[in-house]
Amino acid sequence: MGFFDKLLGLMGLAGRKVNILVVGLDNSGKTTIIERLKPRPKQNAEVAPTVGFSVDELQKGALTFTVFDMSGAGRYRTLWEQYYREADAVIFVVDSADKLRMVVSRDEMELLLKHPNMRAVPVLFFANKHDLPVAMPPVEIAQALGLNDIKDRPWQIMPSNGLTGEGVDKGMDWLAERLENK
Amino acid sequence: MVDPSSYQADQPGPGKNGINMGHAAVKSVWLEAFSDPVAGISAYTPCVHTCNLFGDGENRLVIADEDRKLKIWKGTAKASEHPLLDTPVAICSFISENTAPRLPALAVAAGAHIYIYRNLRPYNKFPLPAENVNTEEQDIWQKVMEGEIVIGEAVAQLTRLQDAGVVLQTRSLQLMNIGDPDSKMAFVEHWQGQPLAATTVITCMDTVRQAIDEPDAVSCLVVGTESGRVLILNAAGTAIIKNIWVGITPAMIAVQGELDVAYRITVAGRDGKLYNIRNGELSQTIIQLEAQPVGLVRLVKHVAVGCMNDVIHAYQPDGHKSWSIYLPCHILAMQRMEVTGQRNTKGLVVALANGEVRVYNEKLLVSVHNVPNPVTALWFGRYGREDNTLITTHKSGLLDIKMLPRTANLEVGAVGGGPPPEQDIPLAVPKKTRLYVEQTQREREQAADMHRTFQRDLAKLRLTTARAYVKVLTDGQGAAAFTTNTNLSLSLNLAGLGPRFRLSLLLRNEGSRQLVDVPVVLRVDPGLYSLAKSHFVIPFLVPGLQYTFEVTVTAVDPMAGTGSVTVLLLAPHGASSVAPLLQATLKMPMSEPEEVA
Repeated sequence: MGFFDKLLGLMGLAGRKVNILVVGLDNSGKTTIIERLKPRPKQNAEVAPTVGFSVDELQKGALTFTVFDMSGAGRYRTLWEQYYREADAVIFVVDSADKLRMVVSRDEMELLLKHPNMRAVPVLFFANKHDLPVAMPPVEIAQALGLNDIKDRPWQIMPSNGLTGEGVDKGMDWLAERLENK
Repeated sequence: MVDPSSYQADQPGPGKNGINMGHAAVKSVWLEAFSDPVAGISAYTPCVHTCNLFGDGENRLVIADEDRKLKIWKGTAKASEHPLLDTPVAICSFISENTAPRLPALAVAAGAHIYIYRNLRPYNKFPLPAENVNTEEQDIWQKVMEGEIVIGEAVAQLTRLQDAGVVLQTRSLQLMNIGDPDSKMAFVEHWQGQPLAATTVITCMDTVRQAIDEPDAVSCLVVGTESGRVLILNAAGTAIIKNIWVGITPAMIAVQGELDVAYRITVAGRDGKLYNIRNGELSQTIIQLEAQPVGLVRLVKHVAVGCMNDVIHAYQPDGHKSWSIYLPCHILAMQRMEVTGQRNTKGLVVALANGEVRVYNEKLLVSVHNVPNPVTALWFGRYGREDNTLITTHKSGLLDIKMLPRTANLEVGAVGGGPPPEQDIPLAVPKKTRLYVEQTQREREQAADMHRTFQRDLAKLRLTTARAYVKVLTDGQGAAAFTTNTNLSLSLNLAGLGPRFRLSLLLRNEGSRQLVDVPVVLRVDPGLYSLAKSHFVIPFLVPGLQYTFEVTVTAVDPMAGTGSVTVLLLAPHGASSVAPLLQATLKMPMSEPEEVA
């Protein structure tokens, strides 16, 4: 918190800080999507499977996002609930081509939504890898995950391509809009 | 294909993934991932396997189908199909060398050969070593083929050999079975020029790790043959490093340990016995099973064997039975279930003939779910990117994939049906004291005397009791007394909640003579109760009739406590003794504080 930040704070122009939690099964494309949100020169071309979690800070309009990129591997999924209390929004990334594990995604999502520490924050679903020929369309994914039963919080499902970054910005716009309205 | 919208998932609150099937407490722990009713797979448990074929961390499902095809499944669709040269018996994946990339090679056991595939391309065909042929048999065939002896004579000699106890080869048995002499000739012609060789076939196959117990460590193939041998191949699959003679045909094998450290192979034989091979030596302990084995599963240190009499027994290597599970119907398939993750549980999955698939953690039932068709194969392991996947194939060709959720509870206590925890608390047995020891010794030494004394004292006690009772009855001192001459029965009834009660005396003359002028006296504690009339005279008592007399008893002070009322029937004037005819005492109940209006 420098002098300039304090000045901005006084003038009411400082960006609001929000915590975003990015979760999803392993190999769904969470780290790749977050890379696309960073400014171009800072983007990492190759991503490796995340171990534990990683934290990034992004600026979007008036909001400063602190993004917690959690690992999706089975043994690290128990770490997710440690961060539910501080989360102001959740991004759930689903691999559209992995039809086999859709049921596991659904199970993890339900555990997340009914966890006592999780508040009624907006959830953004990225139906990632939608460029693959075997990818399920977002409507089917919404049905498979049972998203129509979520009634207590705003949610949105977006097809996206983590490699090119298409669909990612639109999703983040929706999320930013929801968070500003609060 | 399962319609995603019809998925019944865990719902918060009541009604969790419950497919209730008559087991009141046990539900299914599984998540339904994928089901293909027209997959067209016909394979049994040894022919279904998953492994990391391409090294990309996504395990493929490899099925050696009965229609001589090797089918590779990736995710929810079949990726490729390869032809096999013979009907497969078993399929395994093993890693040959330690150098990267550690891609597993597939070994398909069919007939008398092991076909090894690398990168899904046929690489090697390993033949089983020939067995020794009986020399006499070989000579007979030699002579027959060269025409030195007649076929009839050859058959006679072969029969003699068989009677002597020699196990003949299939060729000889076939020749003996053919009745028609022309066909016999044709048969001999057919085998012309080929010397008699003993062929044997593979019955079962498994892998054993070479040095370390890691999923991607170097491993070797273990093969059981029809001729009663267990062979261990080297890691490259080119030579036999161990050849163990078991004696009976192994039906199923279960391997435990590492070759370089210590290993044990449990063999379920076709004779209904379990054999153990420890570090290459056939162990002396042979476990006789009560019925033929249908499934063998290696657990922690023990093996679980499913038998045809619908029981699963768990045996320790030294022959002890750890536990038994009694099932309602026949076992179709059994598979080992090792759950990796936070809880390292080693259980087993059993498919039953009534459509149930049960999961047992040690001997306790953890999960049950129903399937529409009989199960032919069960596999539990890593498939795709998910550990803990259950793959079942069915008789109708259906392929079903289920996954274990991360939060599944496989613990023993989760389901009501296990032994109560109170069972584990040891009983507080008092300590053996010196006095106790001395007493027991005395008992042992003087048993006859003790018994005699006891019986004598008991008889004496009975006599004393009887005497006292008679005295009480005749003296008229007790609560109920009567003289021997009269025969009266009196019963007292008390009505009312009080402070006012009504005492009814029901009197009956049981004797044959009438009684005249019988005085009745009632006695109470005057401080507690007051009587309406304390004495009266019954003028006449006809034998056999029931007389009712009522007296009002009032509690003076309801809070003071209770007393008793004594009723005395006195002897009429001129009777032989002065003792009362009958005496009865009634204990008064607690009285209500105030009169109820």
